[in-house]
Parts: sequence; C-alpha cells; structure tokens
Amino acid sequence: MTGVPLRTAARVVALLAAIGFAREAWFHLVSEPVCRLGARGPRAEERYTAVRATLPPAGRIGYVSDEPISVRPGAFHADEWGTWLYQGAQYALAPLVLVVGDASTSIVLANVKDPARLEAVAREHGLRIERTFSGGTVAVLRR
Amino acid sequence: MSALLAAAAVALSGAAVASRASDRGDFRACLGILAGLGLWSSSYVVALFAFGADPRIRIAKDAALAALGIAVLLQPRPGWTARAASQGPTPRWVWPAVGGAVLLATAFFVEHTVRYPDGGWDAWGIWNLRARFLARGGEGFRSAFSADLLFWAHVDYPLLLPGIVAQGFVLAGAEPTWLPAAVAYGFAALAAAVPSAALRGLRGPGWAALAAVAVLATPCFVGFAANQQADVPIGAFLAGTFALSAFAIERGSRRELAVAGFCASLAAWTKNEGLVYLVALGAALLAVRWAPFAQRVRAALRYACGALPVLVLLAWFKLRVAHANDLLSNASLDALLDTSRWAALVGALARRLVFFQNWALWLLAALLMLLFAVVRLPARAAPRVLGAALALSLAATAAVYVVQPHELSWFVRGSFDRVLTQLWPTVVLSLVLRIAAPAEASAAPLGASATASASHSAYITFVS
Repeated sequence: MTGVPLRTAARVVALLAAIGFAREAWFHLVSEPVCRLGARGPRAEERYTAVRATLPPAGRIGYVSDEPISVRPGAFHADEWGTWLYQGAQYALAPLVLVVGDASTSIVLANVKDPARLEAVAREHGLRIERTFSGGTVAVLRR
Repeated sequence: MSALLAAAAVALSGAAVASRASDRGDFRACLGILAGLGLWSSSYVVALFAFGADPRIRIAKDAALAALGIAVLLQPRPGWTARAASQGPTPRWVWPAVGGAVLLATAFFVEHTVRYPDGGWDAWGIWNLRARFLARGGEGFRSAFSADLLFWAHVDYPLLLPGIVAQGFVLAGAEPTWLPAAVAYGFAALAAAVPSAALRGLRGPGWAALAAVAVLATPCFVGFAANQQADVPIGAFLAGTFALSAFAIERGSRRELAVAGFCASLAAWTKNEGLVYLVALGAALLAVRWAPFAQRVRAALRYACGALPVLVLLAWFKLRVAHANDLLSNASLDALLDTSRWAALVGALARRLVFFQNWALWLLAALLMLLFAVVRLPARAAPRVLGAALALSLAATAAVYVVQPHELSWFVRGSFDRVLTQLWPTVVLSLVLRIAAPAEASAAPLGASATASASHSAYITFVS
C-alpha cells in the first residue's frame, strides 16, 4: 500500500465534516439563538462616545475604577469586570493612553460598575467630579 | 485613488514574490495575495517609523512597492515546469461539497460577526486596539507602545495584522466594523485555500478538495476567524511556508525555499509564535535526511536568506520598540524540571484532543490517521520534514507553556486551541502529503497548468 485511496479518505472527511458542521450549526444557530441576532445590545464602546469629546484626543490621563484591575501577569482577580471595563475604555479612547491608578494627571477618567460608588472613588483619590456620563458610570475627575 | 494604488501595491508586490513559486496554478494566486498583504503591511510599519505618519509617505511607499513589483515581474523568471497532478477519478460529490462548506462557513462567519462586530476580546484588546492607535495617532502613533498600557494590550506583539487594518482605516477615512471583519474573512479564505491549492499541485484536485473541507468544517476555525484575532492569519502564512517547502522538496525547486523563508518571516511578523515555527522548519530542513547534507545546508541557507529582511524588522521592533514579553519576562526556568507541571500540561493537552466543542472529531481522526500512516505507509521526504517541524513547534510551545507565569490549566484552556488553529491548515497539508501517494505528475510546458474542474476554479476565485 503506497497511500490511502482517495475514495476512502473522501468518505472519512465527509463524515467528519458533517459532524463538524453540525456542531458549528448548534453553536451559531441554537446555543446562541439566531432569532435573537437583531436584539444585541449597544457596542461596549458606545459607553464612551460622549466622554470622548471632553477628553484630550491624545497623550495620557489617569484612570480609576471601583473594580479591581489585573495589572500583572499571573496575578488575576477572580472577577475581571474591572479589567474588561479598562480595556473597553482604552479601545474606545485610543490613542489617548489611560494610566491605571494614576490620579496625578490634570484630568482623570473614572469608570465604575456601580454609579453609587463614583463619589467614593473620587474622594479616595482626592479628586472632584467635574462631569458624569453614561448614567454616572463614567466621569471626568479633576483635582 | 490612494486605495487603488494600495491595491496595486498589494497585487504587484505579491505577484512578484509568487512568481518565484514553482506552481503556476491556484497556489501562486493565493501566495501572491498572502505575500502582497504581508509586504504592504510590513513596508507600512517601516515607513511609519522611519519617515512618520504623513499620508504622502504612505502613498510614496505604495507607489514604490508597486514599482518594485513590476521591476521584479519584468525580470526573467526561473524556468519552472508546471505539472498537472492527477490521482485518478475524484468522487463527483466532492466539489459540490466544497461549495457547500464555503457557503456554510461564510454564513457562520457572518452570523458571528453580526453578533460580535468588534470581534473577540483579543481583537479589540490587542489587534484592533493597535490598529486604532496607528490610524488615529498621527505623528503620535508611538503611544501604541506606551509602557503605561497594561500587559493585556501586549505591545510586544508584531504588527502585520494591525498594519493592514490601520491602513484600511486610513484609506477609508473612517473605522467601519466591516473592515477588520473583511480582513479576517480574507485571511480565513486564504488559510483554507493555500493548503488546498498546494495539494492540487502536489497530490491532485481530489485531495485539494478534501483539505479545504477539512479546514472549513473544523468548528473553531470559523469562530476564531470571526473573532478577528491573528491566529488564522498566522495559520495562512504558515501553510504557505510549509507548502512552498513541500514543493521545493518534492519538485527539487530548491530556490523556492527562499520564498518559504520569506513567508515564514511574515508569520513571525504576525504573531510571536511565528518565530518558533520559523526556527522549527529551518531546523527540520537541516536535520531531517531528505537530501545529502550539503544540499540541506544550502536549502537552510536559502530559507534563512528569504526570512532575513522581515526578521531584521522584527529584531529592531523587539529591541527598540516592544517592551518585555509577559510570558517570558516572568518565566521560571525551574518550572522546566517540575514534573508535576509537565504532567498537568499533558493532561490539559489531552483534553483538547477530544474537546468536541472546538474540534469535533478532527484532532482525534488526524492522530489516528497519522498513526496509521506511520505504521502502514512508506515514508516520504516532504511530509517527514514538515512533520518534524510541526513536532518541534509543538515541543517548543509546550516548553513555553511550562515556564510561563500564568496558572497552567487556565492558560491552556484560553490559548491552546488557538495555537492548534494556527497549525491546523499546515497539519492538514502535511497529513495529506503523508497519506496520499504522490500524484502522477506529468511534465508540461510553462503556462499549461493543471486542468482544473470548473467548480474548483470557481471556489478558488471565490476565496481569493
């Protein structure tokens, strides 16, 4: 025998492909119901559309949050909500660089999960709230 | 106008590189697009860092790229002989099955893209983030590599994919979500088409069709492609590299190895893993006895020379721009001797082998097929080299997994399927080369490429 006959290989591939596509169909159409495709929520970065206009277009500003952010490899928090919020903000506001935990810049961006904690976050860093956005979850802080 | 010039730069520079490939059929067309995109992106980064973000620089760069492409195409080319590979009758249902696979994969890609228009977490956290920095930053584009960015942004990752998307944004004058999605779709099409087109030349159209179906019907392939991450693009470059090496070995067209080296360097400029794959293939070309030693040394040198230009760019980027890699800067070499860590890794990897959600039964079938081939089929030079390179790549990757600082099972769960996706088109290519007897190759004059069935041509046209 010098090789597998094409006909045999074709039958095997057909079977594997049928299983593979069935799995894909389950995932794309049933597990994440295709009927709800049009009902997706707003894109994450829409949260930052309004605040973007009030921030400098480039440079670096401080960034604070009420959620912990994983800042070192291998040292993760159980809940990555804070990291996700930071990354979403950075994606929306690039090329402005958001410096996590730095409250010494002239403008600081606050990005909180719970708007009720915004005041406490600002106070903790010795800052005052200048303006809030997105239902009080995003704010521009100044010293 | 500048978009037309950019398209000309991609097409002409890619055609110039692909003109050095021995296969004159679909494979050359796929390779041309792949190499053209790679050149367009890497020259953008060179121009950006050397001369700044002025749009006139980018236009001049594209004009120069197109002119260089024309100049190379006007040179006399190697006198390759096209060969029509044939392996007997192909089952009639195979090509309609390929068409069906393309349609299904496209439908799933569109569904996933509509649902997640920004792609997966890594797409907006790394790749498209970097593209935005480059496109929006103007002369301040260097903030994309700021030390103030968290390690999640992976500022040390190479720039091939962000370079393409950023130029697309600049040319469009906007940042439509369809643009990175279209780039992702294009690379997915190439990742399926490159091994398929190569196998058409090396083993015949029937095996080419099966390879395309195997890649497209792998459940995680479409998902990772639609996630707009770099794993599928690097998979396309890697498949091109390995295919060129197979042509060089099986057809004796050794000069083709320089193109293979170039293609491998583009894989390294796509993602860090690409450097591992590049070195692995170079070592396999040298170590596996597929030719007398002196020929193997010459082959490895040609491969290295082809890789050199982009590797210089990569080295400069790593030394002067990128910060420390999060996997290796906190790595512990003591972990290499930790048997419990190796045991945990083997267990976690074995789980991926039967991870139905992402792989259905493909990995298991590939492993069984490989065992069958090793036991029952005669050894062949090209798949021996490619197989050794894949084994070396996996071994080096395993070592990285052991020394990296993250919790091991979490890290394997989150990344190993992506590594396998990078390798999957190449695994399919290598496996088919191993199990399929070399096609009856008939010498034909230049220009008389293999006769393609109409549906196959339609498929290649579609994916191109």
